[in-house]
Amino acid sequence: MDDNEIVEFYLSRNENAIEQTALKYGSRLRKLAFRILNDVETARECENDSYNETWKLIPPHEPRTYLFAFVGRIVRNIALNVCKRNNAQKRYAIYTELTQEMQECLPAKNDPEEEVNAKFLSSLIDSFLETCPEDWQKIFVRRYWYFDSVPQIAAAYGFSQSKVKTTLFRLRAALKEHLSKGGYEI
Amino acid sequence: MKDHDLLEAIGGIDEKYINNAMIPDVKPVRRYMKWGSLAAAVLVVALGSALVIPRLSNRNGEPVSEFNTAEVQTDDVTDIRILSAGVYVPPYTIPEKKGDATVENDMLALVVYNGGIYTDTFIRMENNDGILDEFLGTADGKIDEWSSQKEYTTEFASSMIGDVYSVKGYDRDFRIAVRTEYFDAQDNVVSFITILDRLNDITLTCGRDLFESRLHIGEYTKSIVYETHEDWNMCMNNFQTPAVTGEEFAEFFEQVNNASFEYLWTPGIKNNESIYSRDQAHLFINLTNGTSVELRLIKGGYVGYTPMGWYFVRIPEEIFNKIYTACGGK
Repeated sequence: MDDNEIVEFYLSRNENAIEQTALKYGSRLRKLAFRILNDVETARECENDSYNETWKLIPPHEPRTYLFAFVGRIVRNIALNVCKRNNAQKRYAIYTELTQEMQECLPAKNDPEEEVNAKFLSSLIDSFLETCPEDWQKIFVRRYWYFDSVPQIAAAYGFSQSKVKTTLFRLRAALKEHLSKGGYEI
Repeated sequence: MKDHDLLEAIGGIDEKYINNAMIPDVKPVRRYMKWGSLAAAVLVVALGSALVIPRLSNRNGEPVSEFNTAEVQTDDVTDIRILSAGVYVPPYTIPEKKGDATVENDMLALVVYNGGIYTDTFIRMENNDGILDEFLGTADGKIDEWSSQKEYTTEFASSMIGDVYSVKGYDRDFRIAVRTEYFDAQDNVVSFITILDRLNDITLTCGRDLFESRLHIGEYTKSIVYETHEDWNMCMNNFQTPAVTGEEFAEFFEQVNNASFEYLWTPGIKNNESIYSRDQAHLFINLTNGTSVELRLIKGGYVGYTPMGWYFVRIPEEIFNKIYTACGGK
């Protein structure tokens, strides 16, 4: 079913909306949560929670052309919150790995306690991606939005792992510079 | 700002980037899958007995070779240094850190096993557990660009995570595999196998030390295809069948096996002087176990195993050019 039709279900408070969302995107959403949490049951719980959140958020939102990105963001946030909540008891390999990689992107003089405006930071990342070639954009998004492993990215796009790793290294260095220029330097 | 702030902020990027990076719910065409579909159509080469030449090996089955750097020649075209009596590939060591962490260490997928460092061959396979032999241990994925040399001596230290196995038909002192799992689009668990070879701390006198004693090309060859350098560069996976007879291939491999290994990198060499600046083509030997061996053919008679970088054998140009031109070499 077309995203627009599914969103219409939400807007008209038709519960088919959740069923159709699950039918179309459930597998992707579940896998996204699984990649972050590495636990099938918790991933399923995150997926279900994301449908409830979506139900609450549409309306007022109307993601007619980006329903997956919309629900995907929600499931991603829920899974990341699970990570943060439980990180003291249990280490989540990919979360730990990616937060370590993100340390490379933090501008040198940045204050770790500084409160950041998430929207502004997202827009800075958008403007950074705008400057990147399409291959680089995809590799960045697969790694840091979808939480794919390097072998998965390499297999998906037919690149060597070396190419993926080199590109990620360069992306992190370039993002660091971009963030510095964008005001994240004291 | 904290590291996880950044990770969370990435969640809010424009939807167009998320949609563009979405992988379709059909399996992407991958190099090895394409080979599978090509297998029926490609040339089945009767390499025959010409490749099963008695191997130079000692009683333990290890390749016999000598390391002699005394004879040094210089290539008349490239000024590249040539060690005429074979090469010793030194143990893998971490490049010295200069300021920031080095890129090189982060680039290699590697696993430490039995005191040796095994590195990525770029061979990947899905759902082919049949190739796995004995379970050896679990790779911990803890090596990164900040790791010390000492960490490279820890058994099963690695830059990738997964279960480590020996590979059927190969000496575990040369080849191992790492098995991981992921969910496919239909929620099925898919096993993903990466093959790694120990290509350092070894001595290679002649081609046979690598291509036969370790890679067993003559024993396992099923078919041979090629890709032009232009297609290879663009990851086109445009594999084609070379117009070469079985006899010509047999002669080619005999020359490759008998030729001395040479190390073709010189410190400070300029890009336009390196062997990789020459015209080249790519020959893929598909083996009966579903893996393949990628040989890089470089103008001037050079043949190398792609994961080995700067180590090549050089064979007479007459037979080399027959194969090279049939593989789209210019």
